[in-house]
Amino acid sequence: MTDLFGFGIEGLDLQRFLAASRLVFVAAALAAVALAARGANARRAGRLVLAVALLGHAIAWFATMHPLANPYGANGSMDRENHLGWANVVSNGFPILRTFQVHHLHFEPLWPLLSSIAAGFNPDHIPAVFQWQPLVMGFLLLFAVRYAWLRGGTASPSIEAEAAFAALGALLLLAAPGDHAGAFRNPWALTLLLKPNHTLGLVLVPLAALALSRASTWKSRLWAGFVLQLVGWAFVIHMVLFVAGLFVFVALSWVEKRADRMKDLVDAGSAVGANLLIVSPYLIMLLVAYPFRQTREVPGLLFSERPIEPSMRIGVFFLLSLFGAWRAYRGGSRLGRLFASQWLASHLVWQAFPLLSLVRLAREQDEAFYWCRFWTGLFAGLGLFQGLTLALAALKARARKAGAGVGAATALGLIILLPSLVPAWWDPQAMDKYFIAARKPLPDWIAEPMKFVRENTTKDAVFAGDRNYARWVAAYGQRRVLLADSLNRPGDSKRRMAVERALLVDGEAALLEEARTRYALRYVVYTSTPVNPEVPIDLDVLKTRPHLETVYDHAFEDLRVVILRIRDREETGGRR
Amino acid sequence: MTDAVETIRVLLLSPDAVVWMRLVVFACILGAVTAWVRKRPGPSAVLVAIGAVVTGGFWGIQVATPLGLAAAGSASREWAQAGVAAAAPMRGDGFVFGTSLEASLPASLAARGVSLDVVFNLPQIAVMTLILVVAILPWFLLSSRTSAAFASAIAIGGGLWPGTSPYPILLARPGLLFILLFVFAVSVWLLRIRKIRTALAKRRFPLGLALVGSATLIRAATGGPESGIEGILLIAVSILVASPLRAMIRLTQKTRARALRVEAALLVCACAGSGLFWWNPSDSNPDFEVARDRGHALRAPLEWIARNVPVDEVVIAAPGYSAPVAALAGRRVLFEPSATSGLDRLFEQPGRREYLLVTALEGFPKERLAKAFSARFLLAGPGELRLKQAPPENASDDPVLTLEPVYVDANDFHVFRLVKK
Repeated sequence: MTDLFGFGIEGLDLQRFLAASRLVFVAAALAAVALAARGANARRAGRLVLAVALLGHAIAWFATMHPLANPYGANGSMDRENHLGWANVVSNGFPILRTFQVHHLHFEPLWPLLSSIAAGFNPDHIPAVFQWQPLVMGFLLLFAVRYAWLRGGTASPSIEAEAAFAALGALLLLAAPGDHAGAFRNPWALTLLLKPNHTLGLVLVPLAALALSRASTWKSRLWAGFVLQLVGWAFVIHMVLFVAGLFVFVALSWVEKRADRMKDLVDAGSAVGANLLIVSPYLIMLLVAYPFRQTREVPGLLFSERPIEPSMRIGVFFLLSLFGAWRAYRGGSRLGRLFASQWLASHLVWQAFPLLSLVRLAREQDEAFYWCRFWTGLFAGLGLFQGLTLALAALKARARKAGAGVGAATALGLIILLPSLVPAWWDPQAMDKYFIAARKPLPDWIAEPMKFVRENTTKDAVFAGDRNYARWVAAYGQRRVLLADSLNRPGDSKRRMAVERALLVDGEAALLEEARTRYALRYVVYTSTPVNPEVPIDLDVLKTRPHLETVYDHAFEDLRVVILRIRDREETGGRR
Repeated sequence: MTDAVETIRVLLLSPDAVVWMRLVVFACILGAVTAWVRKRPGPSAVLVAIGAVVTGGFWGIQVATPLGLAAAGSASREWAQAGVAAAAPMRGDGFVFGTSLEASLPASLAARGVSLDVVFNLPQIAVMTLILVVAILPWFLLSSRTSAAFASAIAIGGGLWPGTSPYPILLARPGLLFILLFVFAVSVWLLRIRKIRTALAKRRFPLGLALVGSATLIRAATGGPESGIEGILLIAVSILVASPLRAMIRLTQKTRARALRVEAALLVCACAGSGLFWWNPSDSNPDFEVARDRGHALRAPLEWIARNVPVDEVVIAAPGYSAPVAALAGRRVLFEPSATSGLDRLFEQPGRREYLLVTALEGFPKERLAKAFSARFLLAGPGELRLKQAPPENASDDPVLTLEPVYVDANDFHVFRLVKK
């Protein structure tokens, strides 16, 4: 057995491997502490911190991905399997605006396109691309935060170190050791590893804020709007949350009666307007494809510990982030004010969820939680470094001597953060159910039929049948389907259900013809235990339908899987 | 009293109870912060301690069977040994027939006459004791009463680092408490020496940083879902740096009132963030959920065995019942504990012990084997009996015993005495 990088993992002593990974990181971080303590200047200190962040993320990523026989999230995460299916659709050369439900409009089209480009439009390379994405996104996130703060952050002699601490915090203080037992589990794993497409939103957000902070002419405002709409294409919820942060930014500006409040309003308003204008086609796609009107009961949010969960669960680091955000806001730079407003808005938005739960609209809580953690982590790193710099300066002033400076603050900051940085305590074997699931081989009742599908059907073949099994047809069989339980229902779902019923229960000839022509259906896949079948269907009876020809039938220990080819009209004598 | 505890226990098993417990604890923390701002450090620390006791008590009272008894790990063996040691303290037997006593804290206490009610609740007692220890330790270590209260509150909450409180490890390994108490006693004794006290005050920061590094290395090496020894080290650091931290806050704040508010904010974040507040062993400790179940069905036959089977007898039972029989009935068993009974495996390739169990479950145990293992009683769980109509053909050469039912209940548990035909 090998991992997706080609290394053998048979007989891997997992506990030792994970412990070694953590120890390597801690040893490297302690070496960085020692180097910083020898009197590093701001540039050197910043590079040391950045190196710790890069190495830490890379080690935690490798520790998680190397022992896996499947892409992270396979075998357990519906979201990841949907993404595999979407990327397969694009890699097979079908329109990027469609999901694996044939002709179904997409609401997250960018990531499958990027994945397919990275895979060279070869669906066989998609799983390996998925393994690398978290590493690349983590690095980009670090560079984006650092770049934005260096270009637009509060002017300071130690800005390089500040920027590096902010980047380190944004990436590796995203999660705290006990998070895996919480309602939203580990934000680092859930954002970076499971949903790197959402991380792309986080990568673009600091750049959007930087563009807006520099906006002064219509051209630069439009540019800010353009960058902001990229956030929308990457992950629309981040765009919405960022816009909420801009509201807070403008509101604070007016509450404070700042001299430049009108400029803030015009800049933010025009950027949001331009963004909405450019991203409007996507928003229309979203309105059509996403079930906004569906409400869901989320009990017990109002009187619970949930409101304090994103903040208090990271303890003292929340206080440090508050300090960092306060300093950034008061620091005089526009980017500092924008970032701090985002921090405040993220916590305000979170507090709105208990109220939204009253009208059954408290959806996507997890994303709001991770958003809170992103800004809190960023400012915790920044706040700690700034706090230490202030404290050391005060000590120096009291002792009336020169000495400890950026290097000492960096060394202290790193060692204080060390027990809380993800790679120092990350134990996926004990903390991550997706890791455990992806270690196991795919069940034979998925792996073998899907191998048959890949090897014996053409890329344009569309499957109908078991809607629960459909996502595996897309993810591992690399084929499109008529309906899948794992995706939102298409607008014409009733018609699709009628076509599906016709296929399964020997229905009307017109509907069968519609199946072949309108939906390009070529196969039916059905199992012995379909989830929520429209009508109970016996597999042996299904095999006798005149319009179907059995091409695969295997009874595995847990499940029987049957694949049937839909005969052409001519083959059925034109009757069906 | 027992009924009242049981009623409370059942009430606390509700998922909503966790939310209410946390709200109560958070109210305690907010009360502590208010007291702190009003310059009442003592009551502030006491309120945090009350919150911690509520949390520890909330989870502790839910443990109905010794934590880890149902698993096949070391905890299971320790409880089993303790049960046998309590029933026959002078024998020095291992709980598995033919083995010798396995030294462990629960077994030593049980052998010295400590009540099994106390022994079986050692994990919970250890957690509550640790709360007490970290609450009072700063008062011995720090000369300033205010700093001691500050350190005490932070330490009770779980320290300055989020998610690293040491309470979970004590639930899993209560024996650590004695090491901690020893370290605590030695520290207090050493700190009575002025030179050591002065040296510690001077090197507080380097020592603290070294402890943080060590704690991180330990965590990195051990892994796991919850913090362990490193949590204790980080609490020690939190206590060590409490005083300089306050000094630093005062140095960077313009007024004393502002410094008090910053300290109060620090308290609320540490107490509500460092782990004790969010601790939920039912999510993080795989044995906790099982330990919540009192196991009424199995208790009844075990109580019968404890009352009616002589202490020197060995009870024949499938490996899945080894730990409960030894721990809760105090009788020795034939097999090492196993999380599952594994009966089918035993039937496949029986050794001497397995052969005795198999033949007993079939209704005709071999007399020579029963004698060899001092086993005159059989416990059969639901569905385990595979009684045969007639004895084996070679019974005349190799005599067999028969089963005399002495206990049976509605849950299909049976206890038989092995008697001559």
